Amino acid sequence: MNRKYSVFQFPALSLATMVAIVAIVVMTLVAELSGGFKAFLADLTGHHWVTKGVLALGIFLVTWLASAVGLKEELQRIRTWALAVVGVSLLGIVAISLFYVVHFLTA
Amino acid sequence: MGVVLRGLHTALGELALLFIIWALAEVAWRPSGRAVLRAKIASLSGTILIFAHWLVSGVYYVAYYGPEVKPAIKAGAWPWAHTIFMESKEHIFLFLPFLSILLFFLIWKNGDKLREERGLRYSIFAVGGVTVLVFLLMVVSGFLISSGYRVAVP
Repeated sequence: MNRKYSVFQFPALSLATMVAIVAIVVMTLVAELSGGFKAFLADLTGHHWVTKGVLALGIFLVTWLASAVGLKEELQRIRTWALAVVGVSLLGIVAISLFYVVHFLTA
Repeated sequence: MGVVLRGLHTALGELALLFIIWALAEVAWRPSGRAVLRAKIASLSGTILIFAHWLVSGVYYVAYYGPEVKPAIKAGAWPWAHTIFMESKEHIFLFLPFLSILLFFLIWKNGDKLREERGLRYSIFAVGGVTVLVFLLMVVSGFLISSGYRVAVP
């Protein structure tokens, strides 16, 4: 069993990437559906997009550092983590794109 | 100033994409020694460029696009260029810094195993492939958004 305990491990970085992407998608959709949430995001930094980026970065760092404690790197599972990141990324792209297409068509 | 920022936005984005593709090309054929070093340097450069691109694009978007370009596009013949493509682009773009960090550490941490471990190279291509896909979506969206502005303000 080839196990490594390190903060720079792929499972923790993959999980952090996926959580950050999901957070971006959720913040994007909720902000468009709720004017109050969008205004709240804008109040924090002056612009809702800037706040989303800063929050996503914070969520990424916290998830990465926290999950590195519990997760272990196994060479055999790197491919599974990579494919999970690809899946979440593609779903995020489809969710955001479809939302804005529907939003435009129904406005 | 807006023109300079727009030029930097495009240049940094395209350079970052080139570095990511370069890193993937180095990894493609069972790399060792200098090829691994080049892949590490290319992926690090790509990641740094993406963060620089994020900063420059953010300043341009908040200071110039929002107040000047967005209202013109929305009042023009192609309002969907903003409502669909810019709105999607600005949010999907936020995936890129995290994907590039992941790709960089995957190459940097496993450089000595890349030659033998086919699964590792496969994983790098999976993460790198989706990173390039996001970049290509940015390029196509950017073309449609700037076309939407040119249609609105001939």
